[in-house]
Amino acid sequence: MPVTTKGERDGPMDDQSDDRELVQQAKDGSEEAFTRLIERYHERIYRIASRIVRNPEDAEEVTQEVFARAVAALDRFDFRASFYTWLVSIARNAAFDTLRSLQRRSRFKQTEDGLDNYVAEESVDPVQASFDNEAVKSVVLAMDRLGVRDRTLLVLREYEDLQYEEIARVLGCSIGTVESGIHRARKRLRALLGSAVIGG
Amino acid sequence: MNEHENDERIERAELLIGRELDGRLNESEAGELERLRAGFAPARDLTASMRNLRAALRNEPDPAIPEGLFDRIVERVAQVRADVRVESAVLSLGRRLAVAAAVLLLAGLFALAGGFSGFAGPRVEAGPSGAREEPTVEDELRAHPAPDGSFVNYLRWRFLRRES
Repeated sequence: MPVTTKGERDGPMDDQSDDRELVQQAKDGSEEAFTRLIERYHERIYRIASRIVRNPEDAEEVTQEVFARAVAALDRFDFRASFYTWLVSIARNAAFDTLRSLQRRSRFKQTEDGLDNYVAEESVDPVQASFDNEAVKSVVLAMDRLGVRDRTLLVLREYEDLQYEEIARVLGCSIGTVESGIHRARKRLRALLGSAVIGG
Repeated sequence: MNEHENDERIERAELLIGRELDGRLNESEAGELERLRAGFAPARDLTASMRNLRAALRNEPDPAIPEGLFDRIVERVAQVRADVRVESAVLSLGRRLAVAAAVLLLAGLFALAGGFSGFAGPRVEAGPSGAREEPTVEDELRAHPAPDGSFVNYLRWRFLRRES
């Protein structure tokens, strides 16, 4: 899969006030307003999906599913979270559903703890071939080997830069659970990488 | 320091460094971490390792966005909207039919149970020639004239006739 150069990520809260207006218009039946929300967020949702499911085709299916579920459930969105956080929580659920489906199709192997520890049998994302930086390449491979829950936590924290409170909302758990989960995920990732790659 | 204590300090350092990376370190924890780094080499190594890990994660290029993804999402959303409209129309019709059926059923049950006196339908007034119409005194007089034709005698005659 070709890669793009990463630009500055928008902060998740940047568009929140404008989102509110668009979401309200969409709730009132404006198709144009919802299309603008798709335009605004589809790339970020795709990135998250891609990093969780580790496959471009599945990531696209997840991304489409996220907006399909969002438009069907828009009446139930109550502005308690930001629209983006809401989309990310749908993305997480859709990605996990996809991984369960992949599990049934035997593209993922199961370890003892069920879906939380499903890992890719092999790197299905050839992105590492284009890396010059060996450490980054190794991290991508290690992320493939990380369990889905650990990977999701790191994607939300490290790539999307979500705060613990937002991650807790996305995952439907406490902030303490998020903190201990991220701590554990980093530890496992470091163990997978070994000291040769990142030192320590 | 024994091995167990060493592991505990490493574990503590790892937790604090994680908090530091995530901007969640309070003042007393910051002091504790600085002391650990100053006097405990593994804490310094761990700091470098975790910072490198973060840098490697954040330097990973973003996956390329598939061409036409936006259009395909818009198309999918339009399909969902159309499905929702059909579902909602079917549900609405179903609800109306269900209400109508329930009203008819209740009405039927009520009628069977006797209902209100006026429920069976509007009262139909009998015409002048209606067979069930109570005859007036004048009708009775015309049909059965009393022997002497007086009204008092007629009443007496009528009373006796009913008694018999």
